[in-house]
Amino acid sequence: MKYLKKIMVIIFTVFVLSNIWPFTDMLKVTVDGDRYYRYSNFDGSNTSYEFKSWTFEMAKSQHNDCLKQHPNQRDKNLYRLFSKNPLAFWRWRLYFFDERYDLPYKNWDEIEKIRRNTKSTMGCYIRF
Amino acid sequence: MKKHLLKPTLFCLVIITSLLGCKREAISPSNEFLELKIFYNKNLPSEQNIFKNTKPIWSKVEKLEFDGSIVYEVSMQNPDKVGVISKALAENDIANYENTHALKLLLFVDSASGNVTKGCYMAVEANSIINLEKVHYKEVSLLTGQVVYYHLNGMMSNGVNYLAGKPMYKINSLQESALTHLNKQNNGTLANHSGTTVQGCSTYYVETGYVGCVGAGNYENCQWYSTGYSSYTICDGGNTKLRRSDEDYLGDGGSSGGGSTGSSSNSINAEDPGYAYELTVIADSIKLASRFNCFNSVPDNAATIYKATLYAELADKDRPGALLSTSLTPGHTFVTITKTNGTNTVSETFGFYPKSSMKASIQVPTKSMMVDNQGHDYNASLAITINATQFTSMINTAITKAQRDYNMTGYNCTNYALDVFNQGMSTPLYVPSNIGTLTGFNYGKTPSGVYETIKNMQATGVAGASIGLGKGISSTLCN
Repeated sequence: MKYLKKIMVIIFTVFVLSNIWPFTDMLKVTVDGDRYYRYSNFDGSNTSYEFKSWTFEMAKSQHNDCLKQHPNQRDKNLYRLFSKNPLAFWRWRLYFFDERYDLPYKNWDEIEKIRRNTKSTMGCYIRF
Repeated sequence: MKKHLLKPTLFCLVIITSLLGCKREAISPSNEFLELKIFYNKNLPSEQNIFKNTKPIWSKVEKLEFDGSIVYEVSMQNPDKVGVISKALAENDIANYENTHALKLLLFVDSASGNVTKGCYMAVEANSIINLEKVHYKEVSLLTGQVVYYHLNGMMSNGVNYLAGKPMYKINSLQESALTHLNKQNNGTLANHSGTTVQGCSTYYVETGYVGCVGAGNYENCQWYSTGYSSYTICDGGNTKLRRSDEDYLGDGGSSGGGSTGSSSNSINAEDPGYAYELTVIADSIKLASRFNCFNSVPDNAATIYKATLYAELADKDRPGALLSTSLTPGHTFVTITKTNGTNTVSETFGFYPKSSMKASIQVPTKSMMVDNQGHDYNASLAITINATQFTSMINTAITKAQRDYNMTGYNCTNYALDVFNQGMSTPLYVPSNIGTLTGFNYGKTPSGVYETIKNMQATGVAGASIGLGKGISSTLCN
């Protein structure tokens, strides 16, 4: 029982630590890997991801630039293409407090289907 | 007690292993088929080319040997279902399209010199479902159907109609004037693909085209769109038996053979920045070279202006000396090269990245990749005007250095950008290495070092040096 308690304490500590800076960010690099955080507008004519110096801020700014150039898009949302995974314990805090997860989620397959007939246009970048 | 521990420990191990196993695939670098890739990249299909959305699958390449030449047959991703049909496609035929149609890229290599001499697309249509993997250039197994060759510019070259693997009839391109005439004869349609009988000879038509779909999911409606016609003729008295050489791809007189980089083959569409390119491993230098071909569309003469810009983006704009932001993202240094003649301007904005952030962050050398940096934020920039020789030197350096491995403290984005940019400087730009104040560790050249250098240049009134937020110039797409 004593050992079980110890293990529970260790697991709890790992869960807590992994949700605290800088461990969350370290896990982001090591476990999530590159380009985990991917974004798109409704039809995939503007896509971006976070990778090294390409940050979330730049993804938002790219989306805003695209909207400025094409203000008549029927859906002006920036969608996150990464879902919430309850098993990914190091992201639990992010699910509640991170701005990325305030964005609506859309399955990339759905967007990609529409994109087949979408042409890249001025001001919007297709990064994947 | 140990038994009590076993289950939770195993549970944790399974969870951790499965989570780590969720990491996406690593892209394995490959130097294979380098010459073929270079050739193909020099002849990428233009926006007007029917094959524009096809892509070679370099992991599926077959090598065929003929007298004096080697033919590499590359399977193609064909999202638009570009190909040939010899009868109108019903809905069911569209659903089964991939079972009866195949598209391959053929690249011909001279076995003596090892040079790639020409290339073409090979579209196959089988009249019934067969194993299309067994259908190769001039070795078609038991194919009954058509093989049609297209030059890399998308124009039809020639083809052969087969019956149970035997070459029966030559397929020739149908001129537009002949097609108009035939359309009139057939009340405006060639839907039955056969018919015109003249002096005991019947002509059969083969359509080139693609499948286009509208709607989505269950409401998706797909249909065939024709882009051209070819034909073959069967005569009552029998046709001349085809020889082995009649099955050859006839070539196009060299227009796609040499990987022309001339301006005539490059059309710039300034309204369409196109797909931002992300390049990988050895292909980096090839694709970069291909992108740089866009510069050929701007004439070189006394009126041509060449420019280069070096950009530095800080990891943390509130702490210019910091190597990483609070979310552990680094800064970045990248370059734009621009060539202008009158109203014709071509720009390429690009930067050097590690293939694996994790390896880079723990100081392990890793494969590099080039990324299109159009629209990338920057905090400082240095713009210079250069001459034609410096411009060429920059391009050559960019291509050569793109093949280097990435090493966070040895050869990183800043080293690369400086190597390229300094080709345009009479005195190379000096950027001091970043030495850790507490650790004394030498972090090498960093974006913050470039930022400080540009800041000092601005303070001393150097033209083109500027501190302030901005975004990297849009790269120009050309085909």
